[in-house]
Amino acid sequence: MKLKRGSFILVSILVVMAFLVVGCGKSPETSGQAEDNSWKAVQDRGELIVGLCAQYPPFESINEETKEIEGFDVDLANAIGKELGVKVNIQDAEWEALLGGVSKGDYDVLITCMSKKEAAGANINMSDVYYELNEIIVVKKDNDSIKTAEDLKGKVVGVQTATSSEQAVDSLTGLKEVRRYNRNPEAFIDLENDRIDAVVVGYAYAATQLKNKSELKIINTPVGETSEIVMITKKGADELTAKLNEALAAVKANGEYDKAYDKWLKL
Amino acid sequence: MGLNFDLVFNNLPLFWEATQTTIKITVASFAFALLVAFTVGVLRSFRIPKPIELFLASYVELFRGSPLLIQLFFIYYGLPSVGIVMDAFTAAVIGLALNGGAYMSEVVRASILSVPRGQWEAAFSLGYSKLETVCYIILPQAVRVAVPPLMNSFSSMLKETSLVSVISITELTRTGNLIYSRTARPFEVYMALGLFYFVMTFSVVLLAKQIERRGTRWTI
Repeated sequence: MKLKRGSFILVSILVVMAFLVVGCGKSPETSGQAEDNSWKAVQDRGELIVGLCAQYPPFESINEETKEIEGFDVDLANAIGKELGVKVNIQDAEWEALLGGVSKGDYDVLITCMSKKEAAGANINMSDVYYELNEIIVVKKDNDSIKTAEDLKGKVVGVQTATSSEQAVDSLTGLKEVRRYNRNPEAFIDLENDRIDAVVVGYAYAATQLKNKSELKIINTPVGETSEIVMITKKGADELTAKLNEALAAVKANGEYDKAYDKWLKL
Repeated sequence: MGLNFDLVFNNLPLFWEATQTTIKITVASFAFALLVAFTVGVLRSFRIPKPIELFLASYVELFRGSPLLIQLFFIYYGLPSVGIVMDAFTAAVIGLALNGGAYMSEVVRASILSVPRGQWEAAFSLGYSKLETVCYIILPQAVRVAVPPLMNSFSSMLKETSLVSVISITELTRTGNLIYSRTARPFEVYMALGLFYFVMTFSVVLLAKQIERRGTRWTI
């Protein structure tokens, strides 16, 4: 009996070690920098694969009626695709899977309202900033005690996890508790039911969402730093990044950007 | 780009706090689930009035027949629409206990059925009442049969607690995701996370072995 248990533990340790060895063996391979043919690959394919998480209106969401993905990022992606002369193929994915997906090559670019800071930890390329987003506070209409970020001290604050809003909240001190949600609508349900005191969220999102929620209101003072929203490509895809920047500048110049802005983000 | 396990060690306090949350939820849910399982399991192994039998059967089938994730969402985010508001911990324990209880009640029922018919007849012929027979003769034998599958349920419940992160509880899996999103090091973070769960379930396995061995000794 004693021997049996000993050998079981030994096997467990061996399995863990085998994992480690496999992990170590793989790393040098990925560090080898391949030649940059990122733009050529897109050109040959005639298609730009754009990754996004369609759960963040007005930037990207699935239309109730048409079931199509729509929003500012979608219009921007299409405008950029037109400028580059390639078709745009939009791929919806889970937020957490996006950065891994672009590194792996599932998408050419992420246009999904992702800020520089959100992407900073990952090993990727970033385009020029295409939008600047403030984080703001949402509270119940009858709440008079929260007027600035300072007033969040001692309060229970909700936030969508792995977003710039979460980073803004984590930069605050003295909060009673931070409640982290997979998606913003869940945070709003908890706010409506008094299970939390406030939600910190991107301004544009709050503005569109609160149009049909009469019992909530926006406290329009920025929390934390302004987020700089960028497009994200694979590490080393410098040519593609340069092309995207060119196209972004062109789209801004020819009025397509403003058209999308007026349609989705103007309040 | 080597591996860097420092980030795991630097975040050990966070992991530890989250592990405690996970253990708390698991233990509370399992205790309630046992209560539900034994009540429902014992009742359903008898001939009981049709309406009660129908109610219990539909409870078991409903909770076995739909994903736990949806049950948790429904209890926490759905029920407020009809005026039932509870805090996240309560919702998590209710969800896990009702879901686990449904599965475990079948374990209890099966282990009661595994006790030979003759045991019942012998008890009755000695003048035991129905309740006495269940408490003193049947359950002690049934529990021995039930321990291994119940331990199975315990370890799956421990791992299912990772789902309660969707109702904004920062337990072990959510903490791992947090550290991952800060560090972008999936290999190290998820490996550590897996190990934490493994250590917890494996300790329970060892404990269950002890209980089984003791159980045999008690009844001989």
